[in-house]
Amino acid sequence: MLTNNDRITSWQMVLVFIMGINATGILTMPRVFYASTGPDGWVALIIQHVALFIGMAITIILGRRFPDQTFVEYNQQIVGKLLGTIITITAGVFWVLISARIVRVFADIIKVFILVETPVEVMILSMLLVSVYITRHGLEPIARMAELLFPLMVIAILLVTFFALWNIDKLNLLPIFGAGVWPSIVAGLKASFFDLQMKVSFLLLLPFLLKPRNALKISALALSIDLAFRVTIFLVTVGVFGGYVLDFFWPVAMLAKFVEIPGEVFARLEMIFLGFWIGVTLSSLLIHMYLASLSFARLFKLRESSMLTLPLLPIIFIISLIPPNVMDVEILDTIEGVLGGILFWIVPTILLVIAWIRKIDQRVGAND
Amino acid sequence: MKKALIFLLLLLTTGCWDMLDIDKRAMITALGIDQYNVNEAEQENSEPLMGAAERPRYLISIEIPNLSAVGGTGSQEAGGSQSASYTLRTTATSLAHATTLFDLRLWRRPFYGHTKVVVVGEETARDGLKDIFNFFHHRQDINRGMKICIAKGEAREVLDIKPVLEGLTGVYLSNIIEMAGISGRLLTTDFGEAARDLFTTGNTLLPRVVPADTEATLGGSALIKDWKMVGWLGEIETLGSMLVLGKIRGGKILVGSPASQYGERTFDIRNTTCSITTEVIDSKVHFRIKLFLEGDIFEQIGGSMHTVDSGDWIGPVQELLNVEIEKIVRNTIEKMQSFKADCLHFGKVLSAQHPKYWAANHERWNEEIFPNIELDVNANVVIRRIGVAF
Repeated sequence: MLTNNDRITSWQMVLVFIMGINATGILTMPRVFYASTGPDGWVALIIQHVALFIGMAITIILGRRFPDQTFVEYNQQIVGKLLGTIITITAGVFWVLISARIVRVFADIIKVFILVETPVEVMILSMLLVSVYITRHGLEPIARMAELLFPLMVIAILLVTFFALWNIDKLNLLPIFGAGVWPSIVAGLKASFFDLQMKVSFLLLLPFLLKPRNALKISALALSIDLAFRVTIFLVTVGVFGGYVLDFFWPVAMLAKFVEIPGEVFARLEMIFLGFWIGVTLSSLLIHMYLASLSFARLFKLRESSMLTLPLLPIIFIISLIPPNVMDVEILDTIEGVLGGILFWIVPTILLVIAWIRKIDQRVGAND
Repeated sequence: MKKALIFLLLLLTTGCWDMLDIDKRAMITALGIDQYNVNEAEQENSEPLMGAAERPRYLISIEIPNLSAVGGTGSQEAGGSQSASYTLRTTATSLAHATTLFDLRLWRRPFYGHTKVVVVGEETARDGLKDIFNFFHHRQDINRGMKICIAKGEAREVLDIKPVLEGLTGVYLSNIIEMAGISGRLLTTDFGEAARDLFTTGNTLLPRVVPADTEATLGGSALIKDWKMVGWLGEIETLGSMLVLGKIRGGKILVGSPASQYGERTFDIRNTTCSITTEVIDSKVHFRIKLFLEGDIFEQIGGSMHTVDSGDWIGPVQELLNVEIEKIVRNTIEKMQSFKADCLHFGKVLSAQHPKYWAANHERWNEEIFPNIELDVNANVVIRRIGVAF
C-alpha cells in the first residue's frame, strides 16, 4: 500500500513535526502563557513539552503493535467498524478545522500588517491553492518543503530575538515562582491537553517512517527543538514587554515591530519577519491538509490520498470564512483544543488498553 | 489555451494590489495635540460645521513635508521662498476623527508611518494621555520608535517653529531627543517604551519641549501619573532619574566652587550603572540605590591647587561628586514621592524582589507605600582621565 516514495527519513520527520507545530499559535504564545502564569511561563512550557512526550510515547507504543498500519485501519480492529469510523471521521474533521484556522488567522495577520487592501478571501485562496498543489504529491514533497523552509524559520526567530536582546529588562522576568509552582504546572498540563495540535499527527504518520523504531527519538528531538524555540521566544518577548504582552494580539509580531536594528537599514523588521513566517505557516498548512486528506482517503480505502485534496479545498475555504471577526476565530481554536485533547490523550490510551486486553498485535511473531 | 493562461498570469500576478504611490501620501512628520475650548468655538462660529454630537475636544496640528522643497535640488529650482513643510490644523473629537477631517482637505492620504514626533500640549497632558495613546496603540502603521513629548504651553507653538538648519520640525525634534542621552538632561524615550510603561503601570516620564521662534529647547521631563501629567521635572532632576534608570550616556555635573582649594570642576559622565535592592523591615520598605559612575574631568575654574604635582585632588573631588550625585538622586525621588508618582518603577523592583509582600500590598503602593519609602542612596564616582594636560 505504501510506495517507497512516501517514506521519509527520521530527520525529515523531525522537521515535519517542528514545521507543523509552529504556525500561528507561536505568535500568540507569550501572551497566553503570561496571562496564566506571569513570568514563569517558561516553566509551563517545559512541563507542557514533557507531558507531550509522554502522550506521544503512548501513541508510538500503540502504533508499534500495528506496523504498516495507520490508526484508521487499526482502530477498526480494536473497537469495531462503527466506533472506529467515528473516531477517524472526528480526526479528519479535526485536521480540516486546523487547516481552516491556520489559513484564516494568518490571512488576518497579513491583512493587518502587510496587505491592508487585499481581501482576506484572495489571500486564503492563494494559500490554499499552493497547498493543494504540493499536498497532491504526497508526504515526500511536504517533507522536502519542511527541509527547505526550516532555515527560514530559524532565521526569522533569530533575527527578532537577537536584536531584541538589548531591550530586555530582567525585572520583567522576575520573580520566579512569585505565585508558587502550581500555576505553572496547571498551565503546562492544560496547554499539553489543548494546544500544539501537531501532537496528534503520529497516529497517522508512523508507518511512513523509513526507520519506525526511531519514533521515540524523533519525537524527543522534535519536542526539544520546539521547546528551545518557544522558551527563547517567551523569555525575549516577556523580557522586553513585561505585562505589556497582554495588550497585543500577536506579541511576537509586535516584538519585531518594537526592536530596532542599528544602522537603520531595516526600519520595519516585522515585514521581514512576517514575510519569512508566510513560509513557516505554509508548511504547517501543507502538513495538516495532508493529514486531513490522508485520514479520509484511508477510511474510504483509496489508493492515493491526492484524490481528496482538491475536494477538501472548498470545505476548508468556507470553514475559514465562517468566523465573522478576528475575536471569533478563537472559537475554532477552542473546538480544536477539545478535539485534539481527546484524540491525543483519551483515544490512544483507550485503544492501547483494549488492544492489550484483547491481545491484538500485528507484529510478526507476536502471536506465536 | 496555454497562451491565454500565460496572458492571464501576466495580468494577475503583478502583485500590486496594495500599491499606493508616494506622492499620493501625505506623510505626517509631526503631530501636535492641544485642548480645544468648546465655549470659544461657540463664540467664533455660531453655526458649527460639525454635527452637534461632534463636540470638538482637541486642536490637532499636523506637519506635512513639501516633498518638492525638501528633496535636494528641487528647492533651488522651485525658488527659496518655498517652505519645506506646511502645517494643517483642525478641531476634532479624537485623533481618528481628525484624520477623517484631513481627508476632506487633502487629496493625499494621511500616513502615520513616518511620523517622527508627537507633541502633546500641557493642558491635554494634564487632562489625560490615555485616549491619545489608544489611537496609536491600535495602529499597525506607526513606527514604535517615534518620539512623544510634552510641550510647556501649547503644542501648536512647537509645530509652528521654523528651524533654521533643519527643514522639518518633526525631524529636528526627534533628532534632539535621540541624542538626548549625551546631555543627560533630557529623557531618551520613544513611543514604544512610553506605551510599555503606561499600559503596565500608568506612570512614566516624557521629555519636555519649550518652544521659541526658530528653535525649541528640550530638557527636563513631565511626570505622568496614572496617564495624567502631574508636574514637571527640571533638567537636573531628569539627570537624576536617568541615572536611576541607567539610560545615561553622557552629561556633565558641576561641583565645588572657584573659591575653594580644588576649584570648580566639571565631571563628564562616561558610563554608569545602577543597582537597586529592596528590604522590608518592620513593614517599612527600604530602597538601597547604589550608583557607580565613571568619567573624566577636563576643567578647573579657580582653586589654589595645581594638578601638576600630584593626584591628591582626585580623591576629594570624587568625594564631592559622590555627595552631589546622592543629593541629586535623592531630590529627584523625593519630588516624585511628593507627587505620589512612581515614575521610575520602584514598584517593579519591589515586586521582583519581594513578590509575597507585593502581592499583599500592591494596592496601597502608589498612595501609601511609595511616598513613604526609606531611601539609601550611595554613589561611587571614579574619575578615570583628566585629558591630555594637567
